[in-house]
Amino acid sequence: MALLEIKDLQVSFDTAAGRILALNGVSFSLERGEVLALLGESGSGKSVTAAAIMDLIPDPPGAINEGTIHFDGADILRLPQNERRDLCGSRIALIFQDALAALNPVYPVGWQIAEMFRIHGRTPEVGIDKAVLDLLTAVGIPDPIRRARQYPHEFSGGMRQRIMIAMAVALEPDIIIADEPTTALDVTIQAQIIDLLDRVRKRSDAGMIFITHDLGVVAELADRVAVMYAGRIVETADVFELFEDPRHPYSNGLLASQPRMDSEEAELLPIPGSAPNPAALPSGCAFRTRCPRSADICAKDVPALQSMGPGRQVACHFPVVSA
Amino acid sequence: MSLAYFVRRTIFAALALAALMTSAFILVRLTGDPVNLYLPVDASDAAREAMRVRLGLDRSLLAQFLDWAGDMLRLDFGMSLWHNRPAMDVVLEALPNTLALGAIALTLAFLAAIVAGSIAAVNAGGWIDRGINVLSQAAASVPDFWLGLMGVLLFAVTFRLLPTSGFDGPVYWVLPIACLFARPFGTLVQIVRGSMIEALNATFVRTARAKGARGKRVIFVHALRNALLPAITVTGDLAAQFAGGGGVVEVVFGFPGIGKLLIDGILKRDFAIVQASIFAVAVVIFITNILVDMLYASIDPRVRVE
Ligand SMILES: Nc1ncnc2c1ncn2[C@@H]1O[C@H](COP(=O)(O)OP(=O)(O)OP(=O)(O)O)[C@@H](O)[C@H]1O
Ligand code: SF4
Ligand SMILES: [Mg+2]
Repeated sequence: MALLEIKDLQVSFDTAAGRILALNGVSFSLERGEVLALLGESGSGKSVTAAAIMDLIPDPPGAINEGTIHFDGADILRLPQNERRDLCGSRIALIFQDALAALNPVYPVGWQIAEMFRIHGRTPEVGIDKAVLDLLTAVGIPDPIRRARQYPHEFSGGMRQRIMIAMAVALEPDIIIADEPTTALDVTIQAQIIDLLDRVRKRSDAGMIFITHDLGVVAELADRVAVMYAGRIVETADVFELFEDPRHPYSNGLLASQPRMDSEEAELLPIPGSAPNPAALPSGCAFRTRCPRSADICAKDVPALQSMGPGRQVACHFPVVSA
Repeated sequence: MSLAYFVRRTIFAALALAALMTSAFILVRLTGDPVNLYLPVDASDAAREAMRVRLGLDRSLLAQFLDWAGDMLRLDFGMSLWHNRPAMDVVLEALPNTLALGAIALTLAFLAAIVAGSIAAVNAGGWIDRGINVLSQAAASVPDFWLGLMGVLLFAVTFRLLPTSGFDGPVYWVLPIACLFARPFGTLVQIVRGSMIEALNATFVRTARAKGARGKRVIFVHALRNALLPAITVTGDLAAQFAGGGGVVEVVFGFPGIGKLLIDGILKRDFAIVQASIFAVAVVIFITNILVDMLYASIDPRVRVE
C-alpha cells in the first residue's frame, strides 16, 4: 500500500445556496518520497482535499461524508481525535499560500517554529533553541539569532514563506502538503522558494503534494500529476506522460495549448466554458458541459477512474488517444 | 514607544488640558453667580458686593482670567468655598475612591467578559452562545441609574442585605461596583465574542491546528491573544470614562468619589472644586491612555514600531 492512499473521498458544505459537493469521490495515492502535483482550476477542490487530510474541514458547515484516507496503513479518518492530531505537523505538514496570514502575528517566528517541537513533546539532541536556529539557517534566513526574535510583520513575503517551510520540516514529516506556496510572492522570489522547498524535502526524503496552477513548476518539481475537476480526480499520470499525452479531455484542453511544458511562465490556460456550479453539478460527467467529446452516455453515467497503463488513471468514457 | 513619543503625547495632552481648563473657566462663570448661592436670599447688597470683592468676581472677566491662568500654571486651584479647604486637597481625597471603584469594576468586567465572550465564541450559534448574548445585550443597555435604583430596592430595601448608601466599609462598595460592572461587561462580551470568532477562523489558527495543537492551546494561546486586542482598546476608552467618576452611580449611592464631588461642585458653584476635579480627571485620563497603549504594545508587536 502506498504511504498515503485516498479513496472515494466526499466532502460537502452546507451553504445558504444549498449543499455543495466540494469533493465528489476523490481518489489518489502518494508513495514515500514522491512529489505529486495537484492541478485544477479554481474551486475544483484542491484546498479542500488538503484540509480533509489535515483535519481542517470546518464542521459545520463542512462534513466528510464518505471515503477513506489511509496513511501508513491506518485510515486516519477513523483514528481517535488525539492520534489524528499527533500526525498533523509531525508526520504530515501543511504549508499555506499566504504566509502572512498563516503565521500568528503576536508571537516571534522563532517561538512559532519551536512550538512545533513543544506540541509534539520532542526535544532534539541539540535542544529546541539551537534546532530552531539551525532550521532558520537551513531555509536561508541570515542572522537567525536576531531574526528568531522578530515577528512575522518584520519579514518580507519570501522570508515569511521560508519560515513556514522551516516550521513544516521541523519534525521531518513524511509528507509535506504545499497549497500554492508561491502564488502570493513576486515572480523572482517564487523560483527560490520552489528550489528551497524541493531541497529541504529531499533532505528528509519527504513526499509532497504540491497544489498549483503553474505548469512550469509542475514540470520542474513533480513526479506525478493528479488533475482535478469539480471535486473529482479526472486523470493521474506520470508528469512527462501527462504533458506529452494527456488522455482526459480536460487535461488535454489544459495542456494542448501549452507551447512548451518547461517554459518559464506556463500558467494554466483557461479552457472554453466555465466551471459548473458546485451546488448543482451536471448529471453524469461533470465536465460534459465543456467537453468536445461528450456523448449521450456522459450525461447518464459518471465515468469511473480507470487504469490505463502503468501509473495512469483516467475518468472518461471517451479518453483521448494520441495518434 | 520611544521618548519622543512620550514627549509628543505630553505636549498634546498639555495643550488639550489648557483648552479644557479654559472652557471650564468660562462655562462655570456662565452658569451662575456663587454669591447668590452662598448668601441668604435676604442678604444686603453690601454683603453681596463684599463677597464679590473677596472672591475677585467684581473685576473684569479678562482680569479674572489672567489671574486664574497664573494660578493654574502654578497648579494653585484655590480654596473650596464649600469645604473651606484647598480644593485640590478635597479632590485628592475623593480621587482614590473613584479610581479604586472604577478599576475594580472594570477589571472584573474585563476578566468576566473574556471568559463569557470566549465561551460564546467557541459555541457560536449554540444555545450557550444565545444565552450569553441575551445576558450581555441586557447588561450593555441597562442604564446605570436604573440598575442602581433596582439594586437599592432589591438588596437594601427588600432583603436588607446591603446598605442603601454611604461609605463605611467594604459592603458599601458592593452595589456601586455591581452597577458600574454591568455596562462594560455587556459591551466587552460582545467585542470579545466577535474578535474571538474572527480569530478562530483566521488562517493562523488553521496553522496551529495543522501543527497538531489541541483545542485548549489553539483557543488560549493562538486565538485569545489576538482576540484581546480590540477588547483592550475598548477597555481603555471605558477606563477614561470611569476616570470622570461613576457619575450617577456615585450620586445614587452617596459614594464619595470624584464624580459626586464634581456634580456637587457644579451645583454649589464651587469654582475651585470644579476646576481641580476637571484637572485631576484629565491627568488620570492621560495616564490611563498611556498605560493602555503600553499594554496594547506589549501584546501586539505590530504597534511597537513607530
Ligand atoms: N468553508 C467552506 N464553506 C463553503 N464552501 C466551501 C468552503 N471551503 C471550500 N468550499 C467550496 O469548496 C469548493 C472547493 O474549494 P477549494 O478551496 O478546495 O478550491 P481550490 O481548488 O483550492 O481553488 P483555488 O485554486 O481557488 O484555491 C469550492 O466550491 C468552495 O466554494
Ligand atoms: S466522460 Fe464524456 S463528457 Fe466526460 S470528459 Fe469524457 S467524453 Fe467528456
Ligand atoms: Mg485553494
